[in-house]
Formats: sequence, structure tokens, C-alpha cells
Amino acid sequence: MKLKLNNESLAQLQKEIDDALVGARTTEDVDAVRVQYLGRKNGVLTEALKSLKDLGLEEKKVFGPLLNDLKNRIEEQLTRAEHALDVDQSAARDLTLPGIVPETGHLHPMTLVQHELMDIFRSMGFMIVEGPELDQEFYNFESLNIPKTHPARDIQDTFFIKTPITRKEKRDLPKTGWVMRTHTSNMQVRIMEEYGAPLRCVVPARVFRNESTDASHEHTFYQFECFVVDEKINIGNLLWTIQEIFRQLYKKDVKVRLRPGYFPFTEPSFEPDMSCVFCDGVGCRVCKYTGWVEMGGSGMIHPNVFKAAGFPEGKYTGFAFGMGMSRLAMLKYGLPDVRLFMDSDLRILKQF
Amino acid sequence: MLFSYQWLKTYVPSIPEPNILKEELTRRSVEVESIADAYPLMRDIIVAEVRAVDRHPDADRLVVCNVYDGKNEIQVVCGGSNVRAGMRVALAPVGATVQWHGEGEPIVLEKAKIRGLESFGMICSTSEIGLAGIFPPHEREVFDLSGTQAAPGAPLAQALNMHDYIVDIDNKSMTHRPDLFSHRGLAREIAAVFNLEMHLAEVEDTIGNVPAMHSVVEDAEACRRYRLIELEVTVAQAPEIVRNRLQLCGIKSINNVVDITNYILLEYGQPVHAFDAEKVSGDMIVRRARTGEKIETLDHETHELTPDVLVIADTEKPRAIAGIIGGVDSAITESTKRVYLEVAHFDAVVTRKASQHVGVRTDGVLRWEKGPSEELPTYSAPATVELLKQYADAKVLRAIDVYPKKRVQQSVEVAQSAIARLVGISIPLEESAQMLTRLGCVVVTKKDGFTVTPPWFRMDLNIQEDVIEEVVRMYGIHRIPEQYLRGELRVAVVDPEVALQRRVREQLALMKYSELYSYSFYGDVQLKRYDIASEPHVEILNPLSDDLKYLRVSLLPNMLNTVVRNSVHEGVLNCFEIGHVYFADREVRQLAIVTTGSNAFRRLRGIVEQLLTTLTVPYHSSVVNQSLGQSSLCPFWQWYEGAQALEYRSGTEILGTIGELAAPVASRIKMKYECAFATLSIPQMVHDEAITKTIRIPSEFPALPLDLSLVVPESVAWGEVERVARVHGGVLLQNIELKDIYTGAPLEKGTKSFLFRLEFQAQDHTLAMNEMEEWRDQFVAECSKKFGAILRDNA
Repeated sequence: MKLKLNNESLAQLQKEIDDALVGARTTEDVDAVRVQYLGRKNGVLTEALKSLKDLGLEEKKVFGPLLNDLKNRIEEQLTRAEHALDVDQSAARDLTLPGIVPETGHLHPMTLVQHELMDIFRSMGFMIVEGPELDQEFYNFESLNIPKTHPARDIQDTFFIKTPITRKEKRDLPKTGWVMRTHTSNMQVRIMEEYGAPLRCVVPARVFRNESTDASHEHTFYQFECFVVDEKINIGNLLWTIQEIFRQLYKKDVKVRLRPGYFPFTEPSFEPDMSCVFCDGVGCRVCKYTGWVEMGGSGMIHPNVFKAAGFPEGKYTGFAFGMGMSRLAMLKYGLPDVRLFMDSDLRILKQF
Repeated sequence: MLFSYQWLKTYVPSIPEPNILKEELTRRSVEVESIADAYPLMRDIIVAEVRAVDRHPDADRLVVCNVYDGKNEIQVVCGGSNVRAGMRVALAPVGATVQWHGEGEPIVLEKAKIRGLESFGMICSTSEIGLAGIFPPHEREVFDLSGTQAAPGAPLAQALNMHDYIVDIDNKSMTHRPDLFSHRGLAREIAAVFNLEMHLAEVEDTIGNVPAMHSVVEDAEACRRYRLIELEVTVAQAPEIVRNRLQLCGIKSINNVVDITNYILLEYGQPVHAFDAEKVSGDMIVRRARTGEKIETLDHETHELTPDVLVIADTEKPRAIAGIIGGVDSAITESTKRVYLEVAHFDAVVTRKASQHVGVRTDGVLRWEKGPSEELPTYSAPATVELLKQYADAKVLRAIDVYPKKRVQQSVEVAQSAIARLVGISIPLEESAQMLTRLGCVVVTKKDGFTVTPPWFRMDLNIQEDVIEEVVRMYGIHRIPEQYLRGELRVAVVDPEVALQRRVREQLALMKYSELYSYSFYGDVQLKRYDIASEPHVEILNPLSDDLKYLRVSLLPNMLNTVVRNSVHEGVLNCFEIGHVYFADREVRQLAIVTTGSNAFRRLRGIVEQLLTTLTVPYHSSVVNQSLGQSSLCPFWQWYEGAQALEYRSGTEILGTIGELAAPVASRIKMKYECAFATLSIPQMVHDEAITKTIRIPSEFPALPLDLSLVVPESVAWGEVERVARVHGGVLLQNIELKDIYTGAPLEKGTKSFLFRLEFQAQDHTLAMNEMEEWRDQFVAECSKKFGAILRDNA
């Protein structure tokens, strides 16, 4: 059979071979197909390739690559078909052989926790922002009812900035200094100024503390803070929100209890404890055998914070809840050392 | 802070059992870390009677005792110098836990052979059972219990009537409650929380009925009250109860006068200081230190002072750092006859700053920095004097109380509706009022709320919300039910950069790149390694170390360090990081991608372009060559091999660049592999991200490939050939794939050939041969005109 050289005929040829191989049951069947098309003597494709030399230069240039491609493709197809039948007939199938592990990329564990939180908060209607890491003292401190004299502003906790900062800010605060934000709460008043109320917001981001590093301290770590402002936000809402976040995160009916606490920018303030998801409250190392795990800080937004944002006195109430994302990730992945996050050792990162 | 359970119990007789106290107090008030046996080392110790004492045949300093433990007579080898027959002693039987000589880890006693003789226990000194602070041991003497009536066999704790628990409360949980840093304060809180009766009688203040003395307060803001009392005293050992309670709370006993000041600290939360009146000259003056003034304090450290530090001075020199620590010269000693007792009030901030300045933290500082009430000395001063009278034969000679601005508690108006609004449930007005009254508040109930006047010791009840907090915790936070968030259903805003960042991360992970995190800081070492000037960097005033003093202006330096570190075990790798870079005038999110290994640049280019395509950020690229004077905003040419970068723009704005790591940098950071890196601006990608995407519908007509081999001079870049092909190719050209670059025979020197495949396809017809031929001829002609290209016959 002589092949007419045009695009339609080549497509037709491919289809014929496909059909023939579908019908093949034995290696002999496959061999027959091979002889018919690629046989050294009268193979259809072999002949067509031979006939190339009779063509003009121009045609050669076009059909040369086409035919060669087709030949390569068919050869691979035949090998595959043969192999499939071979294996099928042999008793040598060994399903216990190890899988060939594909290479994949890996996201940082903190990113994974952050994404998970973002999904939960988004589904609850919270806006998501990160904000600046180098911020004005006003937003990091004063606006949060932390005056200059407060112990939290001692030089040993905060990285202060030496270089004059010339950023254009919406609010003109010429006297304020700049710091590496010490918490994600720096976004509270910024967001209130920008978006007004009502407001549901979460800030998952990088924060800094001027402290030496050890297994549970890092100068660079991650927090998330959520806050809600409306005319009738109450402690019950705070409780539900914290509880819901942990229920979603741990996919368990987690209980949260609030204990009295103290933070300058909330009043009343509470320390949330989560019923230990690792031992279901029976007692384990994570909960120090108390059945409860401390999960950050929370409370009802202090009136001075609303005042700093320029909200009318008494119009709104709100809550804020924040905790270390690093801590959350450590709990989730059983990581013993907070420094692992910034160390970026691929032997660990590749396990995520 | 440590509290004695028994001490608290003297104020609140029906104080709950330790486990209930811990649980409830933690839920309603402060965080109780633990409540533990105060005398764990006394647990196994019993009273025994020494029946006979013989010399040890083989050791001069040891004796062999026959000891009656209430049941049996047992043999015990002992080194005590005071052991004699008939003596009652503290016996640690085999199996008891003791601490050798009061040091190191406690151990469990076993039957032992001491110099050949068996010993079935140990006769203890006070240090071995944790009582050295209360009963200071004489050298090599055992604890002599002959004075007690206890029968042999009785537990020692019972014989000494010493049962107690140490209640450890987390200071952080009461940082806003200065009143709780004292036994009386915590007792009041416990009585309120559990609604129990309390016995907290105050000592009548009769100090004023003596001649006045003179004292000057120069800084009335830093010292709002200064009470000084001159007394005659007899210095001796403090009574057992005082020593015992101090020891339980972790304070060393010194003498009766000093111990009583410390006792008042624990009882009232009032730091009291006593000066030896014979050692000071003239009136006591409260003033700022003068620059350069020095003081040697009780801990024998000498401090150089500045006006940041408030001192108590006489006419000669500073005698104490106010509220923090006394001077060694005027310390109370055994020969002290007359004291100036200082019961004052110092400002929280002044004291804290001074404490930091001199680097001394004491129990006094801990109290002052919380800001206790100026009223405290009204109660604590008479109590101190009373104890000194009782235990140091004190007689008041003169006194003064400089207190120009008496503190008056401001009342707070609380609306019933505000409670309901903030708490989410309605708590009956009467119930709220009762709970506040229990806390010591004076409550005047009105129709729709109440007026609350806090007791003198509460400094933290200033606004309505403060009072609501008290109501909530007394009511029981656990009684508040959870409530759904309600409100307008709004679509949440997601910071577009945060949203894009996520897509970038996920896409890069799909393309087998792994994410790293690195610090925002580096130091001069990094500047040198990466050959960057310190100039554009924002600098930290108080960095943790010199290696962490600049804010990064690019992710690459820290990231490349991480790559090199990981290369040791990973070999070649692909990674990326997203993070902030900081400048004085802005802060920007940056994406950096690094790959190592062969063909790094071309692989990375593929990644960047695939990423931009997936993100629907339109781009075009061009080579920027700094050595040709082509400028770019990139300030880090020294990182780019050959000072060349491939720059991506969308419109006119720069999206980012890719380059190969320059050899000098690679060698400095010990990068062993070929390395390419890219940096891209996240905000620019957000800015240029397209909302729509153009999809190419596959044609129903066959695609025709065309393989060409084009010989060009070596200086011709592939991109130039490709551009001609694309311009020339029009809509029919679907794809160009560079398959090979070849130099060498039979090609002429100075030339190279590009072997590439073009793919043509029309949407509306099957391409005819002549269309292709025509196209190819024109293309080759164009190339030969432009670059002197020749078509190589590959047939």
C-alpha cells in the first residue's frame, strides 16, 4: 500500500494504527502491526519515508518532520502495547515495589497555617489584611492605650528605628517614632480609620520582639489578631468566635473557657484556654496535665482605642482576639522549637 | 508571687481546700500556678528518741546511736556533735527523702554501711529537712527536739505544728492589681470570690501622737507620700513565726527589724525601709540624684546615679535609691539602736526607670511599678510600728507624714444597659451590686444602674468597663453563653496583595519550588558579602546584635545564605520567598526565586514566565546590560553575572528581573552550583494583573511543523531571531521551540546555528504547502538581511 502524502492521509494512518492496537491481544498481534507499518520491506510508513527522496526540496522540508514525528510516535506506542501485554502475561508482577515519589514543591508550615486561618476567617466574613511591619509608635502603642510610660514600651522589648522614616501617612503624626511592630494589634486603629464600622477583620502577619532566641522565643515570629466592631458586640460573640475558629481548625467540638486577664487595649480582658485537643482533656504534656491549653489573649475593645480611631464615644463595642500563629503551628505539627520556622531547613520544610 | 496558705487562712478562716482555691481563683481572679506542700522535705521525718550513744570504733567524728522510733530500737550512725542519750531528734528512716546538707537534688535514704557499721536511717540537721531558714543549724549539730512534747514516732510536722501550702500566683496575671501583691490583698480577694467572712482588722494609727520630725520632699510627683518614723529598737533575731513566713515566701531572715519590714511587704504589699538613724546626718530628703553621685547599696554594688534616679539622701549623700534598695552605710546591724522607718509612696514609672537605670530589681520595685495606692501607708505604717513594738522593743520617738495631696477615690457611673450590651446577657442589678459590695466597693443603686466608689486599695476601677469586668468575673465568665456574630452580610475585603501572594505561593509549589522564610534583618557581614552599601538601609536603634541591625532591602542576601546552607544536604534546589523589604519612604512585598544547578537561568526564566502567565500578568522582557550604560532601577548590579539582567515590564513599569549570580558573590558565599535568581514586585503584579484571559481555541485543522536550521554570526541573540519570526509569523505561527544551538565544524568559525521548530496552524483551513514555503522564504530573506543568516540544509 502506498501512502499518499498529505495531512489527511497521515491522520488516517494514525487512526488505523490506534484501532489495530486496541484489538491486539497478544505480542504476536502487536508484531503484526509493527510489520505492516514499520516493516523494513513493505511497511507503509517505511515506504513513505523512502519515497521522501523523490520529492522536491520544498515538500521534503514539510513532510520530513511530519513523517519522522509519526514514526517516533508509533514506535513508542508499539513498545508500550508490547510491554503492557508482556507484563500481563508474566507472573512477575510485584505490587510491593516502592512507588516512585514525584518531586513536589513545599509551602512553609507557617504559610499552611496562615492559609487555613484565612479560609476560616473568610468564611466567617472577616476581611484579611497584613499591614506594615515597620510602623509608627502611635499605631503600635498609643492608639492601643499603651502610653509612653507603660512597661510594654521598654526598650528591651521593642526594636526602635534609628533612621528617619519619610513615609507618607494618611494621618499626620509628626512626633511619633517608628518601630518594628511588636504585635498584629497595630492594625486595629489603622483599619478602623480606613474602613469605619461595622468591621470584621483578621491580621495574620509577621511581628518582632527584641528578645534573645531560645526554643520558645524568637525575635521574629507570627501572630494573628482578629477584631470585630459593631453596635452590639458582646462577650458571648467573642466566645463563639474563638470557639468556632478552634472548632474549624481542629475539626473537633473544642471548648473554650475565658479567664480574667489584663491587656491595656481591652476591657474586660480575658485569657482564652482551649480544651486540650491532643488528649481530649484527659491530661498530656501539651496541656501540662491540666486539660487546658492557653491560646493567646482577648477582650472587649477598650473605649480609648475607639477614641484613637475617632469613633463617636459609646457608639460601638467590639472584641479583639489574638494569638501566636507560631504557637498554633507548633501545636499543630508538634514542632518542639520555634526557631525551626525561621531556620528554613529543607529537610524539615520538605515534610510539609 | 508566693503566698502562705496558712497565713491567708488567718484572715479567711474558711478558705477553701487548695485544689478548689486553685481552680476557682484561676477562673475568677488570678492565675494560680500551683499550690504545693510547703515543707516537702519534712514529709517522711519522724520524732525519735536517742536511747544510747557509743563511739564509732573506726571514726573519730562519728557515733553509733540506738534510736527509738516509737516501735523499735534501730541503729543509726551519726556525725552530729551534739547527739546525746535521751535527746529527741528528727529521724529520717530508710525510704525517706532528704537533702544532703541542704544542697543539691533530694535523695531517698537507703540502708547504708558507714565505716563498717550498718545505719538504718539518719538523724537530721535542720538543713537536711529544709528548715535551715527557720532554725539556723550550728555547725555539725543535729536538730534538737528535746523542747517539744512530741512522742517518738510522731510525724515531725505534727510535732512542730508546721503544715502549710505555698500558693504560687503568676505575677503577670495580676499586673493591674497592685493590691493583690500582699497576703491581706489576696485574702480580701478570696473572701470576695468565695463570699466568705474575713478578719482583717486594721491597726489603729497612733503614730501621729509624738513630736514631729523634719523631712523634705523635693519631687512631690515622684514621691506622693513620705512617712518617716523615728524609733528606738533592740536588734535581735526575729520570732519564729516571722522567720517561718518569710522563708515560705522566699525571703531570707536577717534580724528582727529588717525581717519585720519584709514581713509588712508580704502582709500589706508595702515596701518599708529602715535606716540606722545613727549613721545618717540631718534630715532625710527625697530628691533627684545629682549626676555623678554614687551609692553603695546593700548588695555591695556601687552605682553611679543621674537625675533619672530618685534617692533618699541626708545632708551628706544618698542613703537609698528610693523604693528600690538601701545604702550599705545606713543598713540595720546588730548594734543599731535607733532607726528611721520609711513607709512611703513612690511613683511607678520613676521607680521602674530608676530600677532599669541601676540594674537592680527588688521586691520593692515589683510593688511600686504596679502603682499601689497612696493610702497604703495609712494602714501599713501603724502595723509596722506595732510589730516592732512587739518584737523589737520599739518606742516611737518622732514621726512625720508628708502627704499633701490625699487620694480620693473617684466614683464611676455604670448603666445597667451597658452591662447587658457588653456581656450579652442581663445580670440583675441587685446581684451586680452585691458582687461589687463584696469586693469592697460602695454601691449606690439607681433606677437604671448604679454609682460605684471603689475601695481605697483598688486603683484599677476608673471607667464603666472596668466595673463591668468585675461584675463579669464575679458572676462567672463560664456562665456567659456563646452567641453567633450577627450583622450585615458583607463580602469580606481581602488585601489584594495577600490574595495574590497566596496564588503565587501555590503556583510555585506546583512548579516544584519550596518556600523559605528568612529574617528581615542582617548586618555588616552581609553587606560585605553581597557588596551592598549601608546607605539605603533603615537601621535599628537597639538591635539584638550587629548581625541584625539593618532592615533588608532585598530578600536575596538572607535567602541565598539559606540556599547555601541547605545545599550541603540538598544539592541543587529550587526555592522562593515572599516577604517585606523596607526603605525609609516605603515598604514593599517582594517575591524572590532562586534555583541552582545546570541551565539555572533558562529554567528560572521558564518558571517566571509561566508564573506571570498563570497570574494573568501581561509582560514583556528585555535584556538590560549595565556595562553598555543601559540603566535600570535595580541597584544591585554587582549580583548579576556580566552585569546583565533580563528585565520584565508590564507596560512601562518594572515587574522584576532575572539574572545569574555573579561569580565574585558566588565565591564569597561559597555557592558551589550554577545559580540564577529572580525578584518580582508583588504590588506591581497586583497592579498589572488582568481580569480577563485570552484563550486560544484549538483549530480543527492540522498543525504543520517546520524545522529550520539557521546559521548566524555568533553575536546574534536568539531573541532577535525569535522576534523576527514572531513579527513575521502573524496569526498562523502558534509556537516556536528552540531545539539546539550548535557551533563547530562544519560551520564557519564565528558562526552558530539555531535549530528550531515552528508550528503553523490556521483556524479556517488546512495550510497548503505553498503558504508555508512562501512564509519560510520571506523569513529567511529577512533574517539574512538583518543578521546575514543562511539557511542550513538539514534534509
